[in-house]
Amino acid sequence: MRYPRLVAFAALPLALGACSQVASLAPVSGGPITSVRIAVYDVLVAQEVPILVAPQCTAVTDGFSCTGTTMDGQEIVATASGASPYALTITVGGTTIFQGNAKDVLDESAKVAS
Amino acid sequence: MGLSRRRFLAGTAALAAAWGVSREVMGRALAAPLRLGDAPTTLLQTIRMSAQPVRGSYRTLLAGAGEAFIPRYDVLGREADANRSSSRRSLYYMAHMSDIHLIDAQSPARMDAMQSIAPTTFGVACRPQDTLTVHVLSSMVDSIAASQTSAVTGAPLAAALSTGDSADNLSQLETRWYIDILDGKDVTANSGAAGVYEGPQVWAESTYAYHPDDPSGDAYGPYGFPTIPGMLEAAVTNPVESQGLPVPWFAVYGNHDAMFMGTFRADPELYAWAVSDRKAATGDALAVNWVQGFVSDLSPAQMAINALRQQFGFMPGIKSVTPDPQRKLLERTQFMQAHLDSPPVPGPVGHGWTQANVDSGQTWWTADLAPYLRVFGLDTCNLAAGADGAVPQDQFDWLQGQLEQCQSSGILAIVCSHHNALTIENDAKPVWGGQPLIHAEEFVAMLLQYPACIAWLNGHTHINTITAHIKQSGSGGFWEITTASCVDFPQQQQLVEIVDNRDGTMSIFVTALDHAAPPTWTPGDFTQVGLASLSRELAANAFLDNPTLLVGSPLDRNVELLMSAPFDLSAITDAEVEAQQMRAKAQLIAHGTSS
Repeated sequence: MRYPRLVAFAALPLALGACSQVASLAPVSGGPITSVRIAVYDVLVAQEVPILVAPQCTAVTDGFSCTGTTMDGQEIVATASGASPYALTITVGGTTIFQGNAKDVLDESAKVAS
Repeated sequence: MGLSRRRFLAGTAALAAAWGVSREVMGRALAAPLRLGDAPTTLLQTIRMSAQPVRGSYRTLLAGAGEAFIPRYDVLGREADANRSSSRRSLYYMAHMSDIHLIDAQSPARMDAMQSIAPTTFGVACRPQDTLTVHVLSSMVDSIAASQTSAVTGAPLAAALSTGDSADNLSQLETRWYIDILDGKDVTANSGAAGVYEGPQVWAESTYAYHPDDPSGDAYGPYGFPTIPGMLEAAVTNPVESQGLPVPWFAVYGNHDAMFMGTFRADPELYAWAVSDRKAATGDALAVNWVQGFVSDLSPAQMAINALRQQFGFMPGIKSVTPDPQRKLLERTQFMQAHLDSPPVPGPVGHGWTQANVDSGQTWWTADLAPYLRVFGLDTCNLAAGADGAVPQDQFDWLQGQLEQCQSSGILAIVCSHHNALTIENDAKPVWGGQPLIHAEEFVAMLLQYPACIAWLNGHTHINTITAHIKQSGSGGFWEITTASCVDFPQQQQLVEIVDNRDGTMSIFVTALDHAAPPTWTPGDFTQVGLASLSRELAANAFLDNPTLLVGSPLDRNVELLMSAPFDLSAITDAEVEAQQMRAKAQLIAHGTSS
């Protein structure tokens, strides 16, 4: 039963007003990079890092890279893998302040303090 | 220099007459000094998931500690004067709403079963809390009404801006419900048969949906979702009362207001399905019947066979439901027209759009919130296909011209759109042509040319997000402020206040705002507020939706966003500010005496 279902569903874009780019049918974008960005911010705030410019994240070949600046001019660097749970490393002024998964950070941040 | 006594008295008389409130009551209220608001916003209390699951992976919600404002210096490029709070004045205080997603959960046009075909892509096609969106919106209105005095300066709430996806599925009924709740009318969140829920949440074969009467046979039971008999009946039976927003509100198009499922062009077959008596209960039925019908290339013989199969009950997965003509899908300009069918209070009639918009088809607008503050409401939906958006060249050119005027006239500018910088990337064009589409990089670069543009408010991703857009020189720029939604966890919106620090800098205070329902749902509480509370709890456990991501970080919630003043703000006189605040207070007084 799976085959005809997929065939019919695959026909859907063809009927949608002659779209030029089927890829545009993807749902709301930005989830993965936002997951990494939020986890980085959660860690920086939890560790009371004084932030001048909060890290901005970009997609790179093997995941995501984020850079920002502390109030005293030190560089904040975060790197993360490209797939959930997003293995994450954060350094401030060259010192590693966090290694773990971004997904775990998000899940913990949403909970009440136990 | 502030208002003279003479102008104050004259203003009081005029406002009392305009709002139908006695001059004495109005005068006393307007003369009262500003006092800091103490509404229960997230400054005082947050809502968090329980540390441990209560059943399986299912967690309840609890009250957590409040979150103080965190100053953000990204755009200012330096530390700010620590004494800035001693001299600041409020320029404007407003609410920011987005992604309300009012849902008629029983509409045949809802493709709930898409969730079983592609759960990761269409994980929100059938949410556990779909029947409760009207309850949540009314609760959010209560919360905004309770926040009518700024906790930062005591300034009165003056307006609300809603940045799209107000309806969920291009539906006339959903659009009417959302407008009525914001305008202060009561709504029963039901269509089809009176007092009966007809949809996948009671159909046994719809195993992709949460069945509150008995979730043991669906995907949500093993996760630990509770058994809540009577929830659906209560949701569609009891009228939801709304006090209405206490301030004028403005709206823009979101992709769910403009396109089927927020993604697809609506073709004639879909318009017919929306008001029909058939609804797909399973993914197979949706794919084989609906999608084939959608393609419209069936042979007459096949169509006859399908008709016979349906007549004799041989089409598994297609259910009969009570049809309702109110469920019809809206044509492009009918969404704007629905906003014109609106009372003058809280207003404005049209909520940003005018009859000229309907007549011309132009879907974007501008409004002066104050003599020194102008807002631009864009339509960034890409009608070719796709959830994400783009800025058409004509709107881009129009906005650029408008921002030039603001810059030269000393008027602060706020841009509103549904899509944000992460999602203005949709390049789908109809093959028959279309004007050029501007994407985020070029759009942001244009906004950066105009320091008068201090903020861009938007939504779409349902994630609390604050983004600094900084000039290449390293300082200067604007703040992009993205709010979470009413439909998904954390069901938060925002309060936004623009403040002149009177030291060459300004601040935009953003406060995340929970709706007024209690953090913890009391089992069996099917009151209006109880159902709103339950909705939030179900949303927090909607595992297909990644709810913990949507909360954002502390740097995305309660923040003071600093920036250099785009021009000498002393050109905005205290008298102008006080006059604006008098008008805003008068609105609130009138709301308080009528609600």
